[in-house]
Amino acid sequence: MDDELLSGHLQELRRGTVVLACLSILKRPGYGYGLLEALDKAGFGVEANTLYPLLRRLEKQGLLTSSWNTEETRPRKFYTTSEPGRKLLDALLRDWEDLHGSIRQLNEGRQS
Amino acid sequence: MSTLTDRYVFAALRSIPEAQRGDIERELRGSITDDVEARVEGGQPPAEAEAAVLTELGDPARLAARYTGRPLYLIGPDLFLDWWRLLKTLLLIVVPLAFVGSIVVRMAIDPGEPAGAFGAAIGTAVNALVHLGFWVTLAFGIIQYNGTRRKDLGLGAWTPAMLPALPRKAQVSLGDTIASVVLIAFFIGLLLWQRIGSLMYLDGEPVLVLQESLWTFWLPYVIALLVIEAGFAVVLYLAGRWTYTFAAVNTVLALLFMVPVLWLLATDQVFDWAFLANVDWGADASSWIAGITAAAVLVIGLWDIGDGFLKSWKASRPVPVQQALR
Repeated sequence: MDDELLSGHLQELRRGTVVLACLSILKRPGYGYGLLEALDKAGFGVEANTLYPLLRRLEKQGLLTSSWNTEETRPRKFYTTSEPGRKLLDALLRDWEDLHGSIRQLNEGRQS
Repeated sequence: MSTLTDRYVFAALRSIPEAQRGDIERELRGSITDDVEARVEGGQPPAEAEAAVLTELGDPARLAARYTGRPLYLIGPDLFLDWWRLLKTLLLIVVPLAFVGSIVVRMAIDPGEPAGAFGAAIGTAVNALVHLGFWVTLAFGIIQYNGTRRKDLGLGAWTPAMLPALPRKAQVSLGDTIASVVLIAFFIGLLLWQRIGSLMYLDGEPVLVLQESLWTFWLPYVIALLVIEAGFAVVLYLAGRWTYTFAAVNTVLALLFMVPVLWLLATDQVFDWAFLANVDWGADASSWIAGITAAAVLVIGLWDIGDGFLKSWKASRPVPVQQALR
């Protein structure tokens, strides 16, 4: 298969899932670079220059709260999924499940 | 703190509003240091690690645009079609008018230089094109930069009622329109030029063909009418097809030309017969020249009126899509 074609479509498919992953991981407080690594480990190849602005946007939308932790060697901004963020995550997850079910149904009995 | 990171953070913060700078700077520096340290722990030399981290973060202006949500394009998909349509419409109206207007003014001021007037008119038209392109795009760029959306501008959503009628192939083509506008400009130039240049010479002196007294009213009237005709041709092209309204306007314009000209010919107010002294066309030359001219004005005028109605009738009949697209 054409690699470029595949990666293009995969990118389209995964575009919205980064928010889902962020809200999921940040149920426990996390900071920028730590989150980047966690996402990388989970298989989301998000770039730093996308993730850092995204965190601020989610914070501005009230889906994340943030606080500066100055106890460690260098101050870090920790983000946590807020109550509205959790509600949004639940709604997104329900939709995710629905989509998953629908897609599976569409392909059932057609394995070749 | 290392120089490269300092320069990067400075470049990125420059285009971020001051109120957000402090917080973003602290976090961005922290994230860069985290990443560099992780790479150094993995065995990379510090300088190399720093360069790699900054390379991955990419152009600082792009990063800043992501932080502020500013677009990285001049005109986005939301406004693009409005920009393009407005630009096309304005260019089609203003550029031909600038061309004709420039010729008229230049020939009125300096009728002895038709070539100069033509060149100046081309210059004016190009000028109008460049200015329109620049200012319209600038205005849309500012609207886009401010984050204004189409609906904020009061532009309605697209509805099927906005669909254009099926175009009639070759009914009003761009080539025909340009040809008629250029022809009208040429006629106006000729009228102005013959006042001093003339087509005929007698002993090296230009001979006036048209009576000088026409300049007090009738020639300016005809020139104004020709300018209106040029505008009509452009409007017709923009509409793309003839309608009975256009045919009616066309009739009025034709009559506004025919009636006074025929009356002027009948009362012998058009030609300055002095030019006949130059040639030997017989004693009754003045009457047959006036007669032929009157017949030509009448035939061309009636044909023009009839043609308008014929095309309107043709345009009112339904046409299959395939034929329209051909």
